[in-house]
Amino acid sequence: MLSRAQDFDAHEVEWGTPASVQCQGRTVHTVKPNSQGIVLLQMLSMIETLPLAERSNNSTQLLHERVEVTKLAFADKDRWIADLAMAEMPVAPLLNEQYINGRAAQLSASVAAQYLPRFETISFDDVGEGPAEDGDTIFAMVVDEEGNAVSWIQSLYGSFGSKLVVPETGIVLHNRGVVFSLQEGHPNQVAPGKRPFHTLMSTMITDASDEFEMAIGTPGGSG
Amino acid sequence: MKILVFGMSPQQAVESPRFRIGNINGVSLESRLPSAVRAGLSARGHDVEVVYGWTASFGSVQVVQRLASGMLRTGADMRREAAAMAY
Repeated sequence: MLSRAQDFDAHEVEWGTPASVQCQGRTVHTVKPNSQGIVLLQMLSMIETLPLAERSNNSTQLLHERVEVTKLAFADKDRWIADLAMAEMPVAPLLNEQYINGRAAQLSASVAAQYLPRFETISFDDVGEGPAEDGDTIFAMVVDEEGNAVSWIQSLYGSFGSKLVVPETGIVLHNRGVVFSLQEGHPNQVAPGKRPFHTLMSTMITDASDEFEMAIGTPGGSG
Repeated sequence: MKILVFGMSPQQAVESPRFRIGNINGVSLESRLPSAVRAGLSARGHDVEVVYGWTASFGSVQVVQRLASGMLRTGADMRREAAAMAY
C-alpha cells in the first residue's frame, strides 16, 4: 500500500492562482503544475509567433507548424512538469517571451522533428492493467448572464480510478499515480506525499478589458 | 485558435478535424482533413496515420463563448458524450 491514512489526513484543498499568457489580444488562463496546463500556454505562445495572417485553416503548412509546436512543448512537458510543492520547476521561465521565441525558432518550416517521449513511467505491464481508453473524466462549464463562469474538470483517470472507495463518503480514489516518473532525479519522480503530473486543464479566456470571454476544456485526448 | 484566428463558431471549431502526435515523427490525422494535407505532411517527413470516424481518442472539447453583445455561444463535441444546455 503506497498511501496510508495519515497521508489523507494531511491533504488540504488548495486555492491556486492560474498561469496565463497573452494570445490574440486576450489572456488565456489555465492550471499551474502539477497540471500540464502551461504546455497549452507554450503552444499558443509559439503559434502567436507565426505569420497567421498568411496561413489558411487546415493548410499543410499550418498543420505542420502546429504538429512541430506540439512536439516542442511536449518535450518541456516530459522534462519538467511535476508537483510544484515538491520539485524545482521553472514555470515563469518556460513561459518567458524570449524563451518561447527561441523555442519557436527551432521549428523547421519543412521537416518533421523526431519526438521521443522521455518520460519513463510505471509500465502498465507492471501494474496489470492500464487505464481504459474511455477513462473516467468529465469536463463541465457554466456561465451566467452576468459573465460569471466556471471551468471545471473532475477525473479518476482510468475507469473507476484505483477502484478504491472511501466507505463513509463514496468518493472513488483516482489512479493518476501511474503517471509518476521512475527516473532517478526527475522532477516528477515518485515520492511520498507528492502529487503526480496530470493532464487536466481547466481553461478560461478573458478579453482586453479582463471580462470573461471563453471557457474551454476536454476530458482527455492528449496529443 | 479556430475561433479567434479563423472566425469559426464554437461548434464549427469543435467539429473541425484534429491531429494527434505520436512517437518520433508519427502523427494521426482525422480523415476529414484534406487529402492534400496527408500528402503534404508525408512529404515533410511525418509518418501519417489516418483515423476514420469520430473517435474518443481525439478528445472532446467543450466551449462556451460570450460575445460582446452578451450572447452565449456553445460548442459540444460529439467525439464523446457531450451536450450544451441553456437554463
